[in-house]
Amino acid sequence: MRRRLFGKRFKIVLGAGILLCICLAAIFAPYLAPYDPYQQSLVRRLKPPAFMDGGSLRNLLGTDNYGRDLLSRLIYGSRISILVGVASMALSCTLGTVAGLFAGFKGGRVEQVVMRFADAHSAFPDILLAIIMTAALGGSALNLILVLGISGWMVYARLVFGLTRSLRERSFVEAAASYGGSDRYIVFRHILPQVVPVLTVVATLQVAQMILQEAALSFLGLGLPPPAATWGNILAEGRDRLFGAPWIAHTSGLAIILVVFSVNMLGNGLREALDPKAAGAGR
Amino acid sequence: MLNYIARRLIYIPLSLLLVLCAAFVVLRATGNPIDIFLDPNHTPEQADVLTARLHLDQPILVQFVIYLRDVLRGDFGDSLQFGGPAMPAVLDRLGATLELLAAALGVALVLGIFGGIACAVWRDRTPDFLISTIAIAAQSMPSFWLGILLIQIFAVDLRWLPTSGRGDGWHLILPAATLAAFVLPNFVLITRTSMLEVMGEPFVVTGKAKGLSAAKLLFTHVFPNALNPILSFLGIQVGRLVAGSIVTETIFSWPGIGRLLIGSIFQRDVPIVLAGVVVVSLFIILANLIVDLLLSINDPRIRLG
Amino acid sequence: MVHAAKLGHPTVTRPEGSRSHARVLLAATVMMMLGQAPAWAADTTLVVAAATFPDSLQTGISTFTSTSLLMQTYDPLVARTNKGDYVPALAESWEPAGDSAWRFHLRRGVKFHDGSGFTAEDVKFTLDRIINPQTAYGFAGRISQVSGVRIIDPYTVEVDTKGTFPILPKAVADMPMESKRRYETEGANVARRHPVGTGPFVYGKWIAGDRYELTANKSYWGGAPKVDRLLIRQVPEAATRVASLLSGEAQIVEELPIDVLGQVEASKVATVASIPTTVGLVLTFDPRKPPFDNPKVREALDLAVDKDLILKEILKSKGEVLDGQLLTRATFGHDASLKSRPYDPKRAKTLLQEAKFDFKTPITITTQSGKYVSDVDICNAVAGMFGEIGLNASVNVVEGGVFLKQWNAREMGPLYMVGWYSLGDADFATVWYTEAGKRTTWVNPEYEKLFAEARATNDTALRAKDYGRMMQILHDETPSIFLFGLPSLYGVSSKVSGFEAASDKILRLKDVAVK
Repeated sequence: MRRRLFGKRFKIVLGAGILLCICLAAIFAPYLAPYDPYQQSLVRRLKPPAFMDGGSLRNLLGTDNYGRDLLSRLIYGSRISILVGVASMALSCTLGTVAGLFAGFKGGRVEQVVMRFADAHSAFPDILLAIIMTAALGGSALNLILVLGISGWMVYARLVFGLTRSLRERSFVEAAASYGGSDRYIVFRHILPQVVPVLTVVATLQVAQMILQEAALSFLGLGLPPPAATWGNILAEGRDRLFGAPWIAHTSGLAIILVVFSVNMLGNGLREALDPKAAGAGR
Repeated sequence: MLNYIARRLIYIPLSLLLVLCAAFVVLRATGNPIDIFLDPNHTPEQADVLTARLHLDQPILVQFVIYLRDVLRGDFGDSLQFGGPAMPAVLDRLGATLELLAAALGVALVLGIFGGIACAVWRDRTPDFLISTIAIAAQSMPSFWLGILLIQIFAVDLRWLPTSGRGDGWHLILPAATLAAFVLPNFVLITRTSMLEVMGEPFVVTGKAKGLSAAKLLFTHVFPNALNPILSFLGIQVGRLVAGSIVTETIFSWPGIGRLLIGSIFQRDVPIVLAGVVVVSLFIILANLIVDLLLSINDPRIRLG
Repeated sequence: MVHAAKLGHPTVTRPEGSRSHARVLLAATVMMMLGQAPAWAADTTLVVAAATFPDSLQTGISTFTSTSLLMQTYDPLVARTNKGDYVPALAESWEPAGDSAWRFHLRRGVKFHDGSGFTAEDVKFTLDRIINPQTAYGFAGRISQVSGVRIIDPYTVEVDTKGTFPILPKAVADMPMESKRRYETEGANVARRHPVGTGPFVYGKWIAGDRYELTANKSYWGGAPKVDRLLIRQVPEAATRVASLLSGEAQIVEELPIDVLGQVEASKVATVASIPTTVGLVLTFDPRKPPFDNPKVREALDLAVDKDLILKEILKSKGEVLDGQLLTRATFGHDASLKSRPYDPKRAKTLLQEAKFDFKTPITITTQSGKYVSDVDICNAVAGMFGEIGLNASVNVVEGGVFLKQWNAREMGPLYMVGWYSLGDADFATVWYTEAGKRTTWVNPEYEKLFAEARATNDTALRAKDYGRMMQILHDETPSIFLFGLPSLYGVSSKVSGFEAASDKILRLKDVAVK
């Protein structure tokens, strides 16, 4: 028997475990963070972390360009980063699922309209749309969620549409319809349960994408306005100081890698566990 | 087949129309070009000239119709920053972007497919573990951070490669690597899954029983059959690559469409943004069309349409 | 072609000897085939990394960045120096001709790069083109009082103005003189793409968003440049710009991020060059709306900002704290008797309490990001200082288009950040506090009167007196918190000599030499 170094269970446990820790840190941020993440101290600007020359235990991970404690900002930053990732995923998942169900179930003209719309939207690079929209709406957590959420619905729509259309033809759905089951009954009772496993995988992986998108928007100057602490913001602020104060970019970059890595692990594990055939769909 | 292509081609203008409409409305609604383009102490006459040129005194719907009419005549308007016509200004930058995309896609495809095959062949053993983990980790890295790290290591510390700009092949390495890292991991994972799936099929087992060598089996039986999911995946990745190129071009001062577009969005140079959006969207649509055609050639069982 | 490839790697010290060897050999071969002397052994190239590029080289875009590129190939009538003084360029001298005209005496023997001579015809053509609204020339507003140009003889022109217009010679300093003949023979489209001027460098190749290649004008009227070639590259990412300086790829880097000054100095391969600009960075109130209609409230907020600390910590002591007025110290019209209000949080609190100020009032500071040196950092620091005396302050960073839209609608919220450049003369900056300037909501009749008087006289002493009084009004009324005269920062390779930081951010490279 081969040694299973990297099985699906391992991936799920590792991914979910790290995520759980990060979520706990986000929830209990006020108890964990040593300082107020917004407290500035201009005389303590850009102090290196404790493990570097000139660092002190006072600020374990050092301070940023306003003298704010980086560790505290990272802990608090997990809140918004995860919120934005999860909420925008939820929004695009809901939008896409509804659209896909609708198109797949109704067929005909509805299908044409929805799917053509999805086609057009797919031809528009999502980040470009996000840029235009944030430039227009201004940056706030809500706008960010809206922008990212809207930019990702097509994946779900296509997926759900495909599954719904093929399920509709299947005997058990036809049987339910012939017994007089209402549309809603059929959708919730027969179609959704079939779709959910695949959706779970795609949705998990999309959270990772959304967190990275938030960082990319921050890089382009379109993330949350300061002083909000998000990982993307901290990383974007830190990149200008990569030569003077590298710890700002590197700690926040590592935080992003850690969370996105564990989300990806979890997603890939789930993919293998739930639906090997859907691998790769929707990314 | 021809029928199918014709039908797909018919939808292209429709998609472009929707894309244009969305971009047009949002851009016009959020900033007046007059405020942005004229010096704060512009004269009233200058404002009048620009207003007339862009039909800013008309309702937005009328503006859009006028714009569409001009576009159908092949006139995308004059760039506000550039002075000259918008479309040529965008097309000027197309070469740089295509060069970057092609290099990144080539690297990602080749390394991704070989990595994926290696993972599948040594499934659940050390190579699989290493390659998958690196792939997932690379996928987790914000690309602008990766780009700046690469510059610091290879251009400043080691001085092997230039930091930025477009020039000879050496200039292409770092940006292409950064952009490739954006999609490469996905190719590894999809190739791995797809290969594993095919390897379980009866005809592969039969081939093995017939005594075909492992390598021959892999490249003549398994890989061709595993290619389709990889190809269809390629279509989706083109869109992501274009999106990723915006950030990459900014970091590496690469004079491509992505950077032109982002600058123009900030400056509300609407003609450039719209012309750029048309070019980029058309590129993505055509890339997907080509991928679908390749799919049908590789696997005649797929009926188009 | 070979030229271009060579320019790509000017004097970069990269180890792969064989590759660059092959290229040099190839370059030499091609040059000899073309019958040129292989002068590359002595060729020196200066590489500049610029933060922003205009999208084309046409005149009339009228931003600092476009002017900086244009002035490599063109000359103005009157030039500004790095320190901000005005000196003769294509005009050797000038004087008022009556109350409503200026006479310019042109330099003789100046040639455009195509060999044709520069004359009064070109001056008339250029100025007429600028004031024509169809041209949409950005800086046209600076000389909106100009009504016409008359040629007196081939080397003398008179510029007619509506009324007295004292600052005309300074106002034309950013306007490159173009060749009439070129527009007429080649058409505006060619003239726009391929600039032919009288300046120190000759146009070579322009790739939008990437690079601008030039060669030295050996017969420049002001003396030949000290390098043979000039390459200006756009590198928008600050970190990449610093990397290109440290790796030796670029010799001069614009807009050096302030937090890497220490690293650059310590690197031993480069130094920092800085000079205060004439940009006065201010936080402007909306005095139409209570409680900010109360001058005492505005004064209190001014007292609550520790400007010296911000200058020291965030601006690393580059630049200056404004002397409680709009104008920087080097600007004509600056009132030396005024001083910045000293930091006094206690008194600020007392004043606010006396004014019955509600400390829960939200004070949003609106700013753009990356428009001025450390703009968001400064706003954040100010908000932090407001927070220390118990105020409810926050920073609202908006994107440029949105900022301008709100600004034009005059809805910027209680406080917003803006930098006003003066280009060395009070007129350019003080106009923004008049009603006609349409930029502030603060109104003061005496200020309006003084502004109109100073603008309509050539009497320098009277103008200085008027501007001084206007500065006092601004100080007392505090329509804005006057923060800093911003620095202009460059990273300069130690291989370079003769470079000076420019207060107006326009590259002057004629005297720069590369070792």
